[in-house]
Amino acid sequence: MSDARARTPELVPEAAGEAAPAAAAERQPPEDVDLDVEMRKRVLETQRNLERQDHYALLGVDRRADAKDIKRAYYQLAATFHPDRYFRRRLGSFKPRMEAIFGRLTLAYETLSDAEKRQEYDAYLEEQRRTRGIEQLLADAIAEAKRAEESIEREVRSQTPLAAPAGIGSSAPPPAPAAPTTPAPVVDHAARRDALARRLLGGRSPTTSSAPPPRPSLTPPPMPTVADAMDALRRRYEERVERAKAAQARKYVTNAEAALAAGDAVAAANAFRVALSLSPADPDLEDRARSAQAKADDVLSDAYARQAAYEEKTGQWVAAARSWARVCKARLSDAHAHERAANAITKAGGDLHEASRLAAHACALEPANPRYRVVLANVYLAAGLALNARRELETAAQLAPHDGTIAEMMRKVGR
Amino acid sequence: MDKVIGIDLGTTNSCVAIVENGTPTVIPNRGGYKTTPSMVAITEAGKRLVGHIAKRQAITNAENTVYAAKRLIGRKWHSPQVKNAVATSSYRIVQGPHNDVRIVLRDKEYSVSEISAMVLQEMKLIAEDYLGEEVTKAVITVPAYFNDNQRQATKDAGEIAGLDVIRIINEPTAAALSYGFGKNVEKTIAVYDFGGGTFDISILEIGASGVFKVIATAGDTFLGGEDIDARVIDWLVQGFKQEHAIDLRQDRMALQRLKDAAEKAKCELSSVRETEVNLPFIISSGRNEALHLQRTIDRHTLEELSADLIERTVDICKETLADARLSKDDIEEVLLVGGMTRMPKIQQAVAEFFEREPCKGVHPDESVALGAGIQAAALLGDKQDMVLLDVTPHALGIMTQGGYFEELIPQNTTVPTHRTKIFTTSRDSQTAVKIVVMQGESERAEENELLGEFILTGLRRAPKGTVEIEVTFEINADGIVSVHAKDLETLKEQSIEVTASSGLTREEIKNMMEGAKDYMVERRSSEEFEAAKQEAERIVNDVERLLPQVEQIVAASDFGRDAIEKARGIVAKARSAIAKRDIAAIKGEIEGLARTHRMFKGVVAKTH
Repeated sequence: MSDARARTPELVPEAAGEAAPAAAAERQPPEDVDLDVEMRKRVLETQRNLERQDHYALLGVDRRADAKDIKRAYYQLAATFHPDRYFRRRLGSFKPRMEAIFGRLTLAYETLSDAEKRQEYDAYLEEQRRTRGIEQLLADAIAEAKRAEESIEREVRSQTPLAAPAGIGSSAPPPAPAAPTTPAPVVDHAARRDALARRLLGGRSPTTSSAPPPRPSLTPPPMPTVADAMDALRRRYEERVERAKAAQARKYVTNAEAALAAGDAVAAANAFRVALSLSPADPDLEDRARSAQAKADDVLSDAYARQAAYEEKTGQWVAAARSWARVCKARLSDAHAHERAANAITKAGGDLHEASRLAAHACALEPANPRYRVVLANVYLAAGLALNARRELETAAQLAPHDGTIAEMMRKVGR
Repeated sequence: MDKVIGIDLGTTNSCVAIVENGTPTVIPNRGGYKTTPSMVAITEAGKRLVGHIAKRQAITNAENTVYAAKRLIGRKWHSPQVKNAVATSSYRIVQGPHNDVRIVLRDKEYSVSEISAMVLQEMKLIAEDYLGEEVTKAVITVPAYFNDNQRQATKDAGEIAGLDVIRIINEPTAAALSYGFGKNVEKTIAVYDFGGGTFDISILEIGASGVFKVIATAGDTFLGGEDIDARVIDWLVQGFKQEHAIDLRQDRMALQRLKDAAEKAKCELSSVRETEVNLPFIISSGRNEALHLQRTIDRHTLEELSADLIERTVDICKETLADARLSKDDIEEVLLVGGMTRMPKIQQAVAEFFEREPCKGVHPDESVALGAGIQAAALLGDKQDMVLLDVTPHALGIMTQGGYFEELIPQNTTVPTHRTKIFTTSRDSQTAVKIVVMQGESERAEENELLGEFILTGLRRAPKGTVEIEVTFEINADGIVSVHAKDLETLKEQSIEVTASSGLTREEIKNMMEGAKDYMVERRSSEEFEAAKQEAERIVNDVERLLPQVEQIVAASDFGRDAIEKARGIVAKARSAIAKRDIAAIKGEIEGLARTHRMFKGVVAKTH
């Protein structure tokens, strides 16, 4: 029945991408149906929210509502949207809409009115909220990194005049360089060395914390041309930006370490990610970021695995396939996840090529597992490749000679 | 607005009701009875008899009187229930086209829906007589456990009878409706419906906003009062065999008499502790000696004979309660529906199981029809203060490779409901895909009920696996299944051919409808004829009674003799019109007859 829910948009082509069409429907000349304006508006609005709302929102009850309230809410809504209410009246396009709404209402009621199902559903919602939160954090982190970069660049730009200083004309011989004030190249190198040293030491300053005094150049630098000056300025600007970014990155690294210490792998990974984007040429930071990401992926894929389990249980194969795919992306050596993903895709009637790839991967990871062969065989059967299916089943039968299910399947295919 | 009626088409008896001025009312037939036997007979003269009049001649015309057609409706020839009926019925049941069942009356074959249509037509007439206007719309009830084929066949019967069947509803649900009508209750109830041919148990919730929600339902479509009658018949036959070494079953008439007696005894034993079965001249012995059957049966024996059947109903109640995930404590009221629930042992078993006294507030014979009437009014009326949320009693699914049953819509799913599944081709350029749709609870397809083979035709020629057809399986509020398909690439409707499903074709139904209409016309005109004939005969008798007196008085004058001649002429013409069954002529003569009669009266009065 949940598949029906997933499919409903196709039954009512207008439902997909409701926002514009709904408003348009009201602007168009009204359909000649036996429904008053209020009811029509209500149907359109309710249908628009169907996919978005969870069971509680749809029934209009609080998360903590008791069985009685839920039943009352359902009955009231059912009395409004049940097709019999408008038996043999002209409903036009509203008929399938109302049927879709009623079906969804009934599903919501059946889930929430059963203690066990409700518990599972609540856990599922919680899981969804968590993963959504995590994904949101990730998106936020990336945006934040971008913002940080931009603000740093802005700030440095405002402090660093990029226009050529007055006097440095095109052909006029430049004035004698005021040596100490702009020994740009030398000072910057040193500063960079410092910064790198600091990073390598994990944020601690090198023993010689202050930059070595600029060694005055013994020979005056060559007469700087305008281009040179521009270059110099640009370089200065860039180096300042880098320094500022490095400083910011250090802050994020500190945050990341704190998060790691607190056991929040996801926050740590995100912080490291921002740090890395601010300070990319840092192999050590890269390592740390990668390891934190791996931990975060684990947490996320655990959550997705739990979601997938619920979705499988309630027959929402399309959603389950999606969730398992996310798990597989993060855990390439998780044979179980791959097999589950293949199974879900087959049940959802999805891309069988993808399903066979995933199932084959699972088999490659654990060649001695007969169950994985069976799933692969099912994919082949669904795709009409009986010979391939039989081959996998034979392998499975060799691995598990006393398994009745495999024997049954072989009989089926052998026909 | 058209009047809509509710009809309880029962195995043994049928009942019709309507909501009049807000009150659900059972419509009595012309004899004043509130229920009508579901029996049809064809006399030697070829006349059709339905109802009480059919029952009365059942014994003498056993071979051509049909009863309990509901036990056959929607079933396939090769089913065990049909085989059972063939072995035990007094009328002939034969195989029809595509595994269907046909009933033979006076050498003519009828489909079961046709026979049931005759009963429905009778109920329609009863309503029309009472209301004084034509009735074309009806809600008809079926046992909750009826499958799709049985429901469709019942709907066909309604159509043949000239009725627009706006809804098929389940009998226990109808009873619940009549229970909750007008009451402002919120209760969880159980309806125990033990009728003539079927048993149903439904667990419902009557809730706020006028909602009647079925939570779970189950039953046995071949378990009813008829089976208990059969046990009594067996017992009598056995006893007789032991005494006289003759099997009474061989004689159709004896069997019919036994059936009648068994039913009567069973009913009597609900109020008395023992009763006598007395069938003189039941059969003649080999030596042409007349044998009699006379035996006393007591309540205890009846209870023993039916013990296992009653226990089966309790087992089904247990299962259903479990399916509904409820305990006995959750049930706040138990309704008893169906004639069999009058049996003390059954009332006791129900009370024991549910641990409460059943509610006596619903009439076991009438509540179903009343509920149907209520639903009819609710659907077509302006006031919509009631909503029925019923469920499908069987899981719906398809047959998969290896003969397995893949469930798509589980048992006890609230209807209307639907589920979609994607089918694809397994060979390149495949142009058709076959889907076998079934209903039932078994994992093996062959144990379930075949609804039909749907073939998606005219598929695009394409590499295998690339053509995806989305098939929607729908169960509507009648509990009837329909299948639609759409090509996911083109989003166009995919054409479907339905083959190998049993039941009547549209062609056959149309023909039968014509036949039924003809019967109606004939029936009406024959009623008209009867009325006219009676009136004419009455006046003729009066005139003839006065004739000798008047003759004496006016014999003297010429005028008088003329008048007498004329009078004789009118009488003769009237009699001939009656003999010729010429309604128009009879009506024509009535005026003349009346005038003559008045004149005669006047003449006689003057002389006194």
